[in-house]
Amino acid sequence: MLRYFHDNGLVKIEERVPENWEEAIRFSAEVLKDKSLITDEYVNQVVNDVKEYGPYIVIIPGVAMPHSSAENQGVLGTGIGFTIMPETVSFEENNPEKDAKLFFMLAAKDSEQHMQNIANLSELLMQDGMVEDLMQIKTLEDFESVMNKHNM
Amino acid sequence: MRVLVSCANGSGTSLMMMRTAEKALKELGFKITNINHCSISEGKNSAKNYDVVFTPTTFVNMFENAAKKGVRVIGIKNPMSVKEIQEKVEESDLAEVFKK
Repeated sequence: MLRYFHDNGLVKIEERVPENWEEAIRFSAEVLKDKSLITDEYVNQVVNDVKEYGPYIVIIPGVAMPHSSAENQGVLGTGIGFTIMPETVSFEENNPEKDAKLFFMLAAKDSEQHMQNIANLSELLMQDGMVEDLMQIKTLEDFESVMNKHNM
Repeated sequence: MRVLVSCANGSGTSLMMMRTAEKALKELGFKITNINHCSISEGKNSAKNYDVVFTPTTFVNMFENAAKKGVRVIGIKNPMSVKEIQEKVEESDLAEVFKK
């Protein structure tokens, strides 16, 4: 899965510090927008969903998986974009369990391919020491060394 | 046992949680006859056709009607944690009812 991000240009080490979670989601959308997999219409929906339902997209402490309905007009293709924020972003005041630094934005036009992507992402995040290693990444070279270390 | 996994829009969290639930339940020895994932709006209507619903904790109250009809509704915090799902299943009466 790390190779997938790497080889498809779907990984970004963000340098700007987002002001809040909403901006963080917008930053994390840029990788997929650059590849024409989504448009702002989808990104707006992702932001609205969090406003409506709360930060359930933070799937484990440190890791956010921003996504919305696959039927949204702004979903043009299928893929996952991986953005590493320079600092941890808070989604819920006084709840560090809902902080995130690793953002995996989903686009799901093709449901079978998406199913496989989700399976790969689960496997990646369940790998021992993976989240800790990803948190430390500051450069693309760091990313490559984590990728080679875990061979994923 | 018929299993439904539901989240806000049915395309991300629920899919991930469905994989986890399937693994967790199989390890506990449950026989899954049917497992699906969907959005909350869809799940509110279809939940009655299932024996158990897994959903992020924040959405548990959306399934009040199904719960009244006897569907077990289980809130899950971490969609990737096999352990959490197994613990919550063991706290419920699912094993008693469905593992005969």
